[in-house]
Amino acid sequence: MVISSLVVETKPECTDKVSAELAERAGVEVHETNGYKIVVTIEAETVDDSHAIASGFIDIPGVTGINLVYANFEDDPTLAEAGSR
Amino acid sequence: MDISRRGFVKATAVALASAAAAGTMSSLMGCSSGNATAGAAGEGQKYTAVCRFCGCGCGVICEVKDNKLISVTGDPDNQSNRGLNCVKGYYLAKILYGEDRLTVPLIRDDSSTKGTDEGLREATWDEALELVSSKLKETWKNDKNRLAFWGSGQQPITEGYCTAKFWKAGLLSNNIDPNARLCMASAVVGFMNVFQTDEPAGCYEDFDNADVFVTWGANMAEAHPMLYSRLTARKLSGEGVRHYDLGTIKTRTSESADKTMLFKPNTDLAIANCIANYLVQNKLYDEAFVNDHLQFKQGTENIGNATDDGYDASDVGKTVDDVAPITFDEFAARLAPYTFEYTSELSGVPVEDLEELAKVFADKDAKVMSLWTMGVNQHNRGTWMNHNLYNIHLLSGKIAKPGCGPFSLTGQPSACGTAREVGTFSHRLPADLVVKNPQHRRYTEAIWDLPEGYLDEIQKPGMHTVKIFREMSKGNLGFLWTAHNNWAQSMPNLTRFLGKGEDNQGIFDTFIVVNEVYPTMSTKYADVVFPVALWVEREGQFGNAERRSSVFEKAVDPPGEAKWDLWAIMEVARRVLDGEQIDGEDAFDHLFGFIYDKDAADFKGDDRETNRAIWEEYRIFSNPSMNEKAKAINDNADGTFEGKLKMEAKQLAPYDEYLAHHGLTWPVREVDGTWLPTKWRFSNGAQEDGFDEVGVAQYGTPGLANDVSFYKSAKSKPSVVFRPYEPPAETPDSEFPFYFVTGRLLEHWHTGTMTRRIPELDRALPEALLNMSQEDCTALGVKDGDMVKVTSRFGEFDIKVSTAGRTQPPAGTVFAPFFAEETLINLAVQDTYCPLSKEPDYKKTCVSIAKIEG
Repeated sequence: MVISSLVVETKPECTDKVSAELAERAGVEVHETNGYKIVVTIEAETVDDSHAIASGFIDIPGVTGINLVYANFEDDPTLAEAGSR
Repeated sequence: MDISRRGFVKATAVALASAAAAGTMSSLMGCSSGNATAGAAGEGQKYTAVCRFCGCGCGVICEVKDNKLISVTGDPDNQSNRGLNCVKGYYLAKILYGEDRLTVPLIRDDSSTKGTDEGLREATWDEALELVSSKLKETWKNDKNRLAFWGSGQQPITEGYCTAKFWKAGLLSNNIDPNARLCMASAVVGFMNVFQTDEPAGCYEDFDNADVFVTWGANMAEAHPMLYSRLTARKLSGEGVRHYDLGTIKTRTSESADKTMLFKPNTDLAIANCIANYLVQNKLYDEAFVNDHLQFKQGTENIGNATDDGYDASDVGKTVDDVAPITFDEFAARLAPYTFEYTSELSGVPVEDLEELAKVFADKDAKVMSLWTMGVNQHNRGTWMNHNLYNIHLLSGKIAKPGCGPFSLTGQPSACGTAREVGTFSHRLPADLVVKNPQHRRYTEAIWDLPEGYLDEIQKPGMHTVKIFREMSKGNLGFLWTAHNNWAQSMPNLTRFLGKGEDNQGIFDTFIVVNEVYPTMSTKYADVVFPVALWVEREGQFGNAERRSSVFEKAVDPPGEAKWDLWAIMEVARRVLDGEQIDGEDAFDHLFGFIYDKDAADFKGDDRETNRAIWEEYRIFSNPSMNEKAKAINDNADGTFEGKLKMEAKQLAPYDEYLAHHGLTWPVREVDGTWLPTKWRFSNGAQEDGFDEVGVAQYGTPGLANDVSFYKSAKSKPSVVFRPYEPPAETPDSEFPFYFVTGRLLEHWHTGTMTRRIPELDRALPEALLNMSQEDCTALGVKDGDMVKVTSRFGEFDIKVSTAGRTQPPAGTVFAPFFAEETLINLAVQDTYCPLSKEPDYKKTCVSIAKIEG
């Protein structure tokens, strides 16, 4: 399982709505809101899946920025295979 | 990962993101902002690094376990990004582990197989090094005009420094140029012409303080996501903060701008002059600033276009750099034709929009940031447009203060740090020095311990990038070595340079060496491929757009037999220089004996010791007091030269300071034993607050208008040079009725050699599409998904049409990105370049478009 955390930036009037939408998404957990910034984690099988989920945030109305803070991929099976070569 | 480990990792993830958002949960597990190195995950070894991708230069912390990267964290201690990365950060590890990574040297025995997937065989390092060295030596001894090195803004600083030293001092050749010629050269020449020193006065912190942003031909939302995030954050947090986007096509950046102004190609020159004219005619410029700081000039005009090979040597080509002083009134008279009405008619931008923009610069209280990249630089008048942007910021005094300034963005992680600061250009020496200036050569000789006059042999600049490839196509190049770039995809006019057709077959006769990490278009044309270390597989340094130099530590070993580029360069250098002498000593030892033991065929120290030793030599260029002879030349102690060099204007700190501080912006000043960065060059104020106190005290004059002092400029006055509107090299006609614009999109970085190996990024943007307006599609009878042939005077390619692409060109203009090797758009792009900077214009090739039936 790849675990990553992000700060999602929103238009100020949309923060609550975006937060609710994010919380509905598979693998996504909302931990905190600070002004127009939302702290989320994504848990997904691979880096690719994590990236797909994170990239999808841009389609939520009111999202203005997606910032990756931390990505742990020690359990990504595709990376484990590549790294052993 | 067991449950307790998983819980720990997740708590770390939350704490780090909370800290980056300045939230309340950063105290989880005792982790706090400013301590990501300790906080990240906890089990593995941590290394500080810098993102491998774009020119933003974001800091990252790499965590390693069992020689494998297991996590990356935005580095909160790197002030360029303060803990935030864009989503490309997910793939920093994955780029190391692509399936087709090159791990052994490759040799091509039959040059007729060039351009195909066949013909390369595995070889030993010894065989490959011997072959490359013998070819280089043979070419060098026979005719050194027939050899060239093409480097990169992705080459780390110390590697670029040693390459330049080998080429310039070892081979006495100026035929070395970087791929930064394709993206930053117009910015560089603009900086040098205006300020006599390269790189911006301001820094990224300006984003947090500006009232108005103006983007000129820059799709920051896709090309500089972290900085665009900072721009949008400022817009949200600041009252009335506005963003104007100017360009020839609508982009994702336009979508979030308050106003988009689409102008006809090249009329950005007129728009900037129109703003300047408004300021001058209405006396709305900053008079005190003008009087204290500026000198006025005009230069050679009606300079034609550098399309033909003979341009540089033509009558006009030889005079393009000429300028002459004019008075302020003469400057005003030159601007006078650029009324709102004339400029509107020329550009297509409504008068009221031009007036609104001009008033932004007239507002004495508004802090304005202009941002630009390839739309301005890849322009047949790219240097001129850089001038015109500085002109409006200088006239309005909006420069070198927090939140205020013209800011040239970069596209590669070390275009500034290596290509520009080290000087891996055909006309340069390190630290802004140029080969044609005798004082600069003497200074370099002092630091490299060369006999006086030794570098006089290279006083004439060598071949710039386009010339290198033009000469190669004509069979006039015997040896080409390239590193950290993919020229066979990124160069314009590939129809000529790749020898498509009967003419220009020189590529097949040139011995080509490519340092690479993956197979690329360029390796298909290589005679030898050196498999090299990628990113944190060795230690290196990048210098980003805000003058920040940062170290990335070695975190993992390179795969297979892949080696550090610098090792390969040293191994070739020692063979080629075998038997040569400098000042009675073995030439190789004289130049590189301080880091390399040629008998052991290895560095004397580890990665850290080697990098530190090179940096400490390189650092003398900006710290002349470290070398008595250099200091005397810097000070012009015996009056031989015109004046002082003022090399401390780019002062760098000792190597370990960069590790301790996670990057520092130069000039870095030692104050009471502490090395302090400079955020705003030339701006007087406390050094500990980021102002240029030490520099102004040493060479400047405090108390002038805005309390800035341009101490590095001639007469301490930047040059406002009048540059008129002149048209693009080609304008649409009945045969080629469309402008073709090329560029980059979010998912893929440059030619896609790293990002396209990442399946998700490739799925997100799997193919290059030709963005067209519905109006043009209707007129041509094509629809989304149709294949078309795009043809120019230079070549042709096939591509699929899309009206719903990432960009929205107006009728008469089309766009396609250059990341896809199977859609080789540069086959048709002109290699016409800005006559001053020699940077090609990738934005305005005229093309025809025809539907491919069936």
